[in-house]
Amino acid sequence: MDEYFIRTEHLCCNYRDENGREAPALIDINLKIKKGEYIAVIGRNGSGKSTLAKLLNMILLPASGKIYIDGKDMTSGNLSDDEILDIRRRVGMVFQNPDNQIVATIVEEDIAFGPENLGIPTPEIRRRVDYALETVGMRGYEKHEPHRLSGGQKQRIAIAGVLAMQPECIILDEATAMLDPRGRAEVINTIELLNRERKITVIMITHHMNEAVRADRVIVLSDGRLLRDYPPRQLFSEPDFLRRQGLGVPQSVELIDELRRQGIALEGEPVTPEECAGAIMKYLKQKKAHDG
Amino acid sequence: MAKIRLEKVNYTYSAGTPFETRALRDVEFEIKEGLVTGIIGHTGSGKSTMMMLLNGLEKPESGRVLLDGADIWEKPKEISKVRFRVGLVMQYPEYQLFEETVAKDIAFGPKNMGLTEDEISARVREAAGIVGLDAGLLEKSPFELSGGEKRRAAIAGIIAMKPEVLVLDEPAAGLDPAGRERILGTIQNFRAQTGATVIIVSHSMEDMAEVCDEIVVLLEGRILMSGSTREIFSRADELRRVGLDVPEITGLMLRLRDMGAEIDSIPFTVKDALPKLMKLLK
Repeated sequence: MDEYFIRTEHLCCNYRDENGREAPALIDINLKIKKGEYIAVIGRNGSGKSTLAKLLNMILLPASGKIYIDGKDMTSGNLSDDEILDIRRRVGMVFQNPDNQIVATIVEEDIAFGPENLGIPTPEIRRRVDYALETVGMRGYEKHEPHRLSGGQKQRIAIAGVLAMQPECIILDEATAMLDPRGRAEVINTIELLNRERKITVIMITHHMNEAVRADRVIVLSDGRLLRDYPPRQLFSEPDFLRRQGLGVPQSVELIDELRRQGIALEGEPVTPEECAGAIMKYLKQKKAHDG
Repeated sequence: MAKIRLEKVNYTYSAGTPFETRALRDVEFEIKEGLVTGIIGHTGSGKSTMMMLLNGLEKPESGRVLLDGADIWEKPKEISKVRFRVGLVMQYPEYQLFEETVAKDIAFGPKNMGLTEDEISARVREAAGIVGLDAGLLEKSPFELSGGEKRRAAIAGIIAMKPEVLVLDEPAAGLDPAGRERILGTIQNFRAQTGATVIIVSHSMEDMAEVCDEIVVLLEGRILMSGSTREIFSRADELRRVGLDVPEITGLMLRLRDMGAEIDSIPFTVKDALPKLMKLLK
């Protein structure tokens, strides 16, 4: 057994531009993701984030390099269709637009769609649908029509549909981009719960730096290359690098950075608003004790 | 002075069916001329309905929408004139780019207004300048542009109609932080160069804090509050109670105040927060 659930070696992928020429979308990506990790992927539009996601669940095939899922070489070229489908089951995806990924007119039928296609017996499907709805906090919506739900609810239904396939990893491709603050919080809380309590590996592609700070590790892509693979604390202590990449930092980190530039020696590597407030208060108290 | 006034506006969806939904109830407020006004609220709070009412895509069930003091529905046959005066940039407007070149796409609106070729090409150049698209991009296919450029090209198409009011629905959604900055810059640029009135709908409180002079908060089809950006974000507790939020920096400063730091007025941008904190920490 591989220590890593996902591992890539010298992974390259090309796309065809408008003039029919091949251009690199990803260049020499070496990535190791353990089971149960929570990974954020950030980068500008066109940096290769979505390409990476599509390679990991075999919607796209690489030009060269290796992808191992749970130790198995996905790029050997002699995988059967069943093996490919099995990977898509184990590595589920949730996309940006909630309206583009719902297939049925009743919530429970939508969630049952995946397992039904696998030929799973009805009682087991029922059990899975109930479990999935329970997990995303949507029990009671079984008979509802998906198109009447809010954006956050639709995305949670999409996550439930992935959960019913009993995945080991969920990839979210800007899944909160179209949601209001409440919908975003619903989705983030659901994902964090799945990661923490069900040990599901999460790969979260996002433009929101305040979502990235919550991950175990943040991967930065730029023009198809992997530039950083750091814990958030380490990454966000380099605000200049992130700004050069056109990525910016959360407002709390920006504030801490500016205060330090003006000579305030704050301790630690705070990244969340709570931690940043804590660091400022600590400094304030020490100053008062010193002055007082 | 009020550029747009809503008087006792009511609007119901699917009236007479089991799905009847009151989208707006007795909504009454003013959009001030030459300012940037933000509209915030949950999905389903009535924001989109409101936007469509403002430029006459929808008609109020009762009540009036006044543009420069005149009811826009007084002469229903002339409603298309209102749509030229109040330009609407929909969500993800780049999906609606369709012409062979960026220039032709931007020219589409002005063409429909029946302007001369010279006037049209002048407007295309001017609009491209406001949104910061290089002249070199104008003869390219829209599909060769980056995501952020496409978005700006789509906005230029509306700006080229020289609207007196520009309404934008989630103008920065789905863009990376640098793309987002450019869109916000474009909006500020447009206002500065034309003096037009701007209305923005967004879920990003940080974006709203950066560009809006005034904010209107909608909750379940009613106006929950309206006022200057400072007034609205100083009511953080009320906003949070209804599941909305304040900018991250405002949340941080409120937390500091709760922890005992002496902060008199709560800032809503990092630029504002910095001098206040420096005074405490220096």
